[in-house]
Amino acid sequence: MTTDAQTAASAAFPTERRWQRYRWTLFVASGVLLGIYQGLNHAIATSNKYPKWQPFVWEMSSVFVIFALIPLVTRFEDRFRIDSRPRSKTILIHIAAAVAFSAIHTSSMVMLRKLAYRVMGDSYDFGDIPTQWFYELQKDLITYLVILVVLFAIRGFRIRRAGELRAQELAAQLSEARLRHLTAQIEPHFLFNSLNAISNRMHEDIDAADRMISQLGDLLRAAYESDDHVRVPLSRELGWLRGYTAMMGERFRGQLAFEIEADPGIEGLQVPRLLLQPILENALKHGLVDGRGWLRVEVRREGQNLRYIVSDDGVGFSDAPLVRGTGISNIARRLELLFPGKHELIFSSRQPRGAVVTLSFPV
Amino acid sequence: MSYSVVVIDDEPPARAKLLRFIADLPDFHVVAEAGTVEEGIDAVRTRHPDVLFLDIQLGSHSGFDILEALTDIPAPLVVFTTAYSEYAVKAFELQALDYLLKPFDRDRFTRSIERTRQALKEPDHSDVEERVRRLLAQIPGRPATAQQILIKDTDRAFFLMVDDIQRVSAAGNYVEVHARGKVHLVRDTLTTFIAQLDPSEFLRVHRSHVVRINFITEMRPLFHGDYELVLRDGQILSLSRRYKALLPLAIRERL
Repeated sequence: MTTDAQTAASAAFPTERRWQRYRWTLFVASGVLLGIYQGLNHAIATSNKYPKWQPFVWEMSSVFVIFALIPLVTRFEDRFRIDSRPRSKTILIHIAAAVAFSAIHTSSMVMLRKLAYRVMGDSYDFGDIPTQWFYELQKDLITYLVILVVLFAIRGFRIRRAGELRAQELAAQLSEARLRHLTAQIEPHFLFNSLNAISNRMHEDIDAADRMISQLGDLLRAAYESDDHVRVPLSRELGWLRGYTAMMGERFRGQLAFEIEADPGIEGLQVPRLLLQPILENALKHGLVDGRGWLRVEVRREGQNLRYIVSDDGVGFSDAPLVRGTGISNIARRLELLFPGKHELIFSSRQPRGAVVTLSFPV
Repeated sequence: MSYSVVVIDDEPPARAKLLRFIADLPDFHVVAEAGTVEEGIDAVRTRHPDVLFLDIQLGSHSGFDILEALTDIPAPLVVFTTAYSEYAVKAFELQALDYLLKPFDRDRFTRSIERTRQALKEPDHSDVEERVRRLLAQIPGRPATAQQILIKDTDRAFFLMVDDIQRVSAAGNYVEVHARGKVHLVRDTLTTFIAQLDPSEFLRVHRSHVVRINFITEMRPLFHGDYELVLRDGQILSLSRRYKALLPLAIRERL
């Protein structure tokens, strides 16, 4: 059970947190109820052979000690997971732990009983110690095993639920990114200014105008795509980027320069979809405010990681307040969901001017 | 006679297109082009063009910023260009200002130029200036109009409450501010001075006269659709057809 799955779960369900707050109260209450229930059963079974309070003392002392030991067992099991390897070692460790559990349980229970009997003005006799202890041991082994099974089941349930929550949130974040992508590319300003640039280019160079029309077509097609794969080949992620920068480069010809460079042989790698676009838009909107300057995208393979480096020579982060708009927080969140603790997203300044955004994640 | 033109747009292809269209016109010539707000202000101040083609979205700035910085000089005729701005287009239509929606073809450009030629033939463009002033007042996020105005008389300076101003008239290098029966002379142009006033309260009725709406008591029709305005202090001002078109709709419809 990782900590971020926990935070994700508690963030997703506020009611869950309320449960967490009272979980110790609930734990103690269920111990008391179980003790009363067992005591009642025992009292009925032994009918009137003993004073009524004695079966309750026996059962409750036993249940209390077990409940007091459960947190320790939980912590111990967390340290030596029953599904961990090597299996033989794990089994030996837990057999030893079960025997220790039984020793603590039995001795503490007997002490509690002696105490209770004294309070009631009576004295408690445990009986023949080896016999009684063996009797308790075989019951305790079962109890210990039950505790382990329950812990294992809870853990499995939590992991599965956290996984589902993660998948759900990832889907939501991706659809938000897709919507953003769609609106950015068929954003009216982008569309109409692109058309205007094409209508000018026609008079200068028919082939260039033709290329612009097909690029605009590609961008619109990409925006209308409706599959929901979380990852796409790098070639596709770079495809729209080239189309977008080509169109912006034409619109701001002589003012904006773009460069996209990827290491050879990595275009087939599966990468998270639409991570680069918000970074690029951020650079164009907040960095290159007058539509002047250059923007460079590098994609590098570094061992098991892929690294995106987006740099520009705009105003940088020191002059402009660090704008972490919704687009950027969407990227950060998706990276965290996809690669918890294994990714990097760094915003830094370039010298003498400009900004660099570095992003890396395992592939 | 050839009219001078300044083209302001942050996208080079958009400028190139306008430049190509204008180059085919015998009576217009481009004297400067600009891609940013600063360059644009500079171009208009140094070249004093007759016509300005002005893009609304200039990177993270607005073409309106340029107009606002130029209220102290006689404004050129403006043809707004925009790729998309529902809001601005509504405002242009409301003020009957000329605009071109990008992408435009030669036909639409020619029609816009025809209207510009007509407007340029008029000796007085102060009504267009007035329309631009009203347009700017409508743009959201613009500075609010003043509550009081600093007046420098010959021997003293004092604040005049805008609520007290009844009318403002041009007088050579000065502006006459009529307030509560007194006249204050301010060294300013009418256009710059009234930029501080709320266009919904003060009407420009003539190139030299601006009147508070509720200071008008009567409107008498003259010939050819011209009118005569009678003010509360008994003065009479003429209201030409062109300025009549600028009256608020509620008043205009009753005339």
